[in-house]
Amino acid sequence: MEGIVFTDPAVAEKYSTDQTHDKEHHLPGGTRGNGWRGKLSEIPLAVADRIFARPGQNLLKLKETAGTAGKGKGKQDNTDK
Amino acid sequence: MPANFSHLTTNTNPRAIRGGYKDVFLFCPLADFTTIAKPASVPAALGDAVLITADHTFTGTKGFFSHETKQRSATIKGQSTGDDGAKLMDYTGEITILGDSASTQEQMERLLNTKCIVLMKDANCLVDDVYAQLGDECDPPIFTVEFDGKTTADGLKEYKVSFKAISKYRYEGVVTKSTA
Repeated sequence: MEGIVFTDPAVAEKYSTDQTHDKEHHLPGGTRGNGWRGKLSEIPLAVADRIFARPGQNLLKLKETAGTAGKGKGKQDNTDK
Repeated sequence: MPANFSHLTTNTNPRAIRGGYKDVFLFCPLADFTTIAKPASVPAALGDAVLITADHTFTGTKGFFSHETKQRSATIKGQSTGDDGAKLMDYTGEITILGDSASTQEQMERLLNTKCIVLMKDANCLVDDVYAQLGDECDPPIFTVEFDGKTTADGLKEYKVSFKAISKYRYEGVVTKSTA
């Protein structure tokens, strides 16, 4: 089965997902009015950042690129030696 | 730990405290959850004991199912129960589903004996984070269903669904819908 393809290039560059189905999600925004509702593939970067920061979420993962330590992983960077 | 009580003042905006819930019934069988979020184990502020801010998570096609309900039929009531000095609140949600079909009938019959968690969106549209959650992993709601076939003279066939649970929370996490 083809994975989820993010329509926002900035999201596609920064995040990946283990989710296999493109489901609809509602991220509440409360009185701040910054809630979001839509499919995971269509998520904008600002919302993706908010979702990624939520504890225990399983929708998004940071893509590991050269020089990126990742959240809490402490991965050793062996580039540019 | 927060204090047990605090002062309460009435919100002067009537829209903020209007009655009722959105005409949508969200439910998900316990078996479909990957993780079931809970209130903080150590409450930091008054209200935290009944507030869920983390997300219920799912994988694959799993998520909440959404049933449109009869307009203005969704409500939740609560009643204290138990002996003096040992009381709890017992909550009952009520919704009505219009129409009848093979799919509707089968789902209503399955609901009777399925352990679920239920979400209902508050009718206050000034905020979009106010979901009432009935039930949790340890105390799923008990469902009862009434079917009224009506007559050709008076209205549409309908299923009245009631769901009863001791556990009621305010859910402010992400709501994921199933694609099944």
